[in-house]
Amino acid sequence: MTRNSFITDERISHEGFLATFIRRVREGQLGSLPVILALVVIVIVFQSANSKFISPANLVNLSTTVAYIAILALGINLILLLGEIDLSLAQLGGLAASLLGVLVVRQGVPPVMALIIMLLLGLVVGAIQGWFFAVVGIPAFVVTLAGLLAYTGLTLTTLGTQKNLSMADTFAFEFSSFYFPALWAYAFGAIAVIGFGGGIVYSKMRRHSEGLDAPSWTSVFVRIAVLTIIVFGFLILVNQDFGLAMPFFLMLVIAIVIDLVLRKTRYGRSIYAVGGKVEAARRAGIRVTWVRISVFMAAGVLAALFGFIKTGVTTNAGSTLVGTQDLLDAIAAAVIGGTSLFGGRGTAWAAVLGALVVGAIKNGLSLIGFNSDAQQIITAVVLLAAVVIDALSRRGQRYVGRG
Amino acid sequence: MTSETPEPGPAASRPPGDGSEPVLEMRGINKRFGAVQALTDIHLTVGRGEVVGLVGDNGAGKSTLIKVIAGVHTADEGELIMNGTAQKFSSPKDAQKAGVATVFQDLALCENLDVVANLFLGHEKTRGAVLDEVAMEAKSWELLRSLSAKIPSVRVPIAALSGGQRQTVAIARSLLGEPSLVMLDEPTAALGVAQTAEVLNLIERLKERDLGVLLVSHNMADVQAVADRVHVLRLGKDVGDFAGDERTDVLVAAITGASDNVVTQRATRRGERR
Repeated sequence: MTRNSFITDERISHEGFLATFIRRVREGQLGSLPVILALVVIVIVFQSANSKFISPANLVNLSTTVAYIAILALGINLILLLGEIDLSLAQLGGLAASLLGVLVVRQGVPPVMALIIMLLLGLVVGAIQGWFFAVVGIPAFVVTLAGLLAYTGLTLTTLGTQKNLSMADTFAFEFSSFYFPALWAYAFGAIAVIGFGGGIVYSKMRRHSEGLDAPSWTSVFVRIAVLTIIVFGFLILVNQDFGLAMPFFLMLVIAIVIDLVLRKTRYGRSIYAVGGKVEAARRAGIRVTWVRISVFMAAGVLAALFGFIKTGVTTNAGSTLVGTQDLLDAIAAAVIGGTSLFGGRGTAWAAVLGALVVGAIKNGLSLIGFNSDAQQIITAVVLLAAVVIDALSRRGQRYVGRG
Repeated sequence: MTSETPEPGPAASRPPGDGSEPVLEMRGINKRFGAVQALTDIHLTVGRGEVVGLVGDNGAGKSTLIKVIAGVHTADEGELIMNGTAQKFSSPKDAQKAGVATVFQDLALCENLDVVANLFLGHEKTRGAVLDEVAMEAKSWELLRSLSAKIPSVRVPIAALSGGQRQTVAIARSLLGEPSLVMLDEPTAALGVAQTAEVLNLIERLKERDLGVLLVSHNMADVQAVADRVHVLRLGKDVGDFAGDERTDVLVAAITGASDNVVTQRATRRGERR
C-alpha cells in the first residue's frame, strides 16, 4: 500500500472497509451482492411461510432442480459475456435428450456411446450457429431463433410417431439419481474449501512479497470461514436425507472449471475483451472469430448436458421435456446472478447464484401452494429488478472518476 | 566550402547535439489511392528523444502518413528507415516488431476490463496456462510510476477512469512492446484542461526515455507546448519543418496555405515597393 501510494491520485481517499462498501454500492460496483441478498430474503420468506423449506428432503429436491437450470444458465452466461444471446439452447438440450433416448431405449446403442454422440451434437450445432454468427455475420438473435424453431421440429422428427419416451431404468436416470455417500460428500467439501483457501492464501503471500496491495488476513479468514460454513452446512443438511446429488455435484464441477477458465486463462480474458469492445480485442491480436465460435460450441455442449441431466431427473425424453420456460429460466438466472446483458461483465457464479434464486422461487412457491402462474410472475419481477440493477450499475460506473 | 553547407531539407533539422541516427527517417514517400495522390514526396525524420508535431488540415495526409508508418498502408514509393535499417512494412505486426507503437484516437481499450488487463491485453504474462496477475500488476505499477501517471488503482475498470487517465493507459500500453517510436493520434482531443496537461507531461516523459515521438494534433497550443519541431503537411505534400515554438500565425498560414495566395503575394509586393 505505502509503496504505491505516491503514485495514486491524491483525490482518492484511503478509506475503511465499511466506507469502501458504501461507495461501491453507490457506484454500482456490486458484483454478486444483490443476488446474495435476494437469496437471503427468499430463504427467510419461504422458511417463515413453510418450515419444510430448509428441510433436508426439500434441499435435496431443490439441488437437483437447480442443477439443470444452472448448467443451461452457465451456457447462456458464456454467450451473454460475449454480449450476445442464444435462444436455441434449451431446445438444443431437448433435441439432444430425445436423440439420446431414441439411441439408448429404441436402438440399444451402448450408453457411453450415446452420451458421446449427444455431446458431439451439442458441439457441432454450437459450431454451426457460431459460424453463422461470427463468420457470416448474422445477428446471434436471428441465428438462434432459427435454431429454436429447427430443433423443436427436429426433436419431433427424431422421436417419430411416438412422442413419449421414458428414460426410467436407463443409465441417464441412474446417473441423475446417484447420491454420494456422506463421507465422499464431506471429502469433496474439504477439497473445495482447501483448494479455495490455499488459492487465496497463496495469492495473498505472493502479492505481499511483490509489494502489492494484499487483502488483510482478517478478510482472507472471513472468506474461508464463510465458504466453510456454507459448504458444510449444506452437506450436513443433505446428508440427513439422500445426500449430495450427482447432478448438483456435476454442476458445481462445471461451474468451478468455467470460473477458473474465465478468470485465470488468456482464453477467458479474451472472452471478456470480445464482449467489452470487439475492435479493441481485434487490435490486441485476439482471434475474435475463433473466440466467438468456441463460446457457442461450449454453450452447445452445456445445452446437451442440460438435456442429459433433465432427462435423467424427470425420466422423460419425449417432446415435452423442454419448453421455452427452461430457456427463460436460464436467461433469467444468468441475469439475476449479475451477468450484464450488454456483454463483458459477469462471472460463472452469477449463473449458479441466479439459478439458486430461480429454483428457490419455484420450489418455495409450490411448497406454499402457489401454482406456476404465480411462479412465473414472481420470477419476472425478480428478473426485472436484476436488469434494473444492471442498468443502474452501468450508469453509476460511468460517473466514477469523472471530475 | 560548398560541401560543408548542410543539405536543405530533413537532414538540416536533426536535433542539434545529437549525432546518433534518427529513429525514423522517411525519404520520398509516395502513396496513391486510385486517382488520389494522398502523399507526394514526403521527407520526415524523428530523432531519438525528439518530439515531432505532425500538423495539417483535414485531408492533408496526416492519417495516411501515420498509417504508412504503422504498417496499415504500404507506401508506393520511397524509403522508410527505422533505426538505420530500411524497412518495408506489410502489416501492423511488422511495424510493431520494428519498434513502432501507435496510439490511435479511438483508444482501443476495453472499458469492462481493469487497467492491468488492458495493459497486457493480447500478450498476457502466464505461468503455465494460468495468468500471472501478480507479475502483471507489479509491472503495471512500475510502468505507470515511471510515467508519473496518476491512476487511482490498476484494478478499476477503464469505464471508471477519466479521459486523461484512459489516454495514459493507452500510451502506457504501447510502451510494453519496448518501442523506439511512439505515434500519438490526437491524444488530447476531447480532454479537459488538466487532463490535457497530464497527457502533455506524459509526452515529455516519453522524450526523457529517449523515444522518438510523432504527435498528430489539430491543437496548435498542445503541439507548441511539447514539440521540438513541427512538420507541416498540406494537400499530401511537405510544407516544411518549423521550430517547436514557432508563432501560431506562421504555422496556421503554413497549414492553410495562406502564405501562398493572391492576397499575401500582393501584400508582399506592396511591402517591397515601400
